[in-house]
Amino acid sequence: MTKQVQQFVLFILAVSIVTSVVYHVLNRDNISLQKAQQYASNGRYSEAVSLYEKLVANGVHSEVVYEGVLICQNALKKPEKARGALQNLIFQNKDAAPTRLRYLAATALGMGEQDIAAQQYRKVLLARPDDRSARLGLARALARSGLYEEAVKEYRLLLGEIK
Amino acid sequence: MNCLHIMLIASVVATATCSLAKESQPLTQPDAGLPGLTPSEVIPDWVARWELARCLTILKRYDEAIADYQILLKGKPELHKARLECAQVLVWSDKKSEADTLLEKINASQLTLPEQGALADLYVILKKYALAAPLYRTVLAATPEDHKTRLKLAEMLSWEKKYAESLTEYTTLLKALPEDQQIRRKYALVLIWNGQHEAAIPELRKTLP
Repeated sequence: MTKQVQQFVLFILAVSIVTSVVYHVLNRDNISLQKAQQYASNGRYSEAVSLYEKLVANGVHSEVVYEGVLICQNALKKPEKARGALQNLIFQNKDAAPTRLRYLAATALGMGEQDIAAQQYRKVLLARPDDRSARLGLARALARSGLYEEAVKEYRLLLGEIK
Repeated sequence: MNCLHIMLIASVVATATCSLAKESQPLTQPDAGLPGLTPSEVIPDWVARWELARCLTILKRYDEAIADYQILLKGKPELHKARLECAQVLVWSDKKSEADTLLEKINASQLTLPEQGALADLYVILKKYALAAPLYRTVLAATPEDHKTRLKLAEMLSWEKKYAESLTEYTTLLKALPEDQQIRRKYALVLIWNGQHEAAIPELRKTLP
């Protein structure tokens, strides 16, 4: 091999190695997130939640991360921690679109967090009074909280029996 | 060009590439990994009506609950569970004949085991013992350790004067719950009704201090 070819090969090798090292250093958080998402999708929730929590500790307070924590803590049946993640998500989404709020409300309802669910459903209904899914969700949240009279009112609104 | 030059150029190129890569892959991708958000679903009225009827029942607003159950069943006569719930409310409202009529169209095979047990309880209240017995037996076939249901069956059989069958059920119960004084006293009572006074005496003694 000529000297020039040798230098060229060395150059390519060097670029590859340095690129790889620099990529991992500059994109540590992205790589952790991808790993966490992979763990979660494979059902390895404990490992996933450790990575998500490291990301939060590193200052990555994003919806994707809190959503990941929420899914994992629910899967690990740790309601207190799941509730914390849900509250963080809701805080992040305080000005979010009604569709997003309704999703969070449904998640809260599924977790047994009736009060949080009712609050979010009411926000949806302020923006979209005709949202039947949100109205039904609110009625259910109220009923599950034992607020049956209020639930009856929401059901009757949903059925068009009162305005 | 020596090795040092090569490494220096490689570092600059690599760093530039990675910085560009980082900017094009933002960490906060709100939709990444999130389940798809469903659009506002079509919520059928019958779902809301059923839940409303249940809320009204809990509030003991029975007349309103019955009205809503009737609207529900008019549109969805195949909802046997709703039919059972309505019949329960009718019984609680002392409208037994209406409950009886409603239950004529019920298909017990469409109910879960606990629902079949509840239906059997209604039949007992309506004194339709012949309809209750097979339901209790179905429940017991699946869950032989369901002592509550077995006791209900044993009592019902004794009211029908089917003492031998009743005593069989009580014997099974006492094998499982030998310390239960109330069951043993009821057993002794059935022995007495069956004319087995001698057998009843030791049973009654066992229940006394």
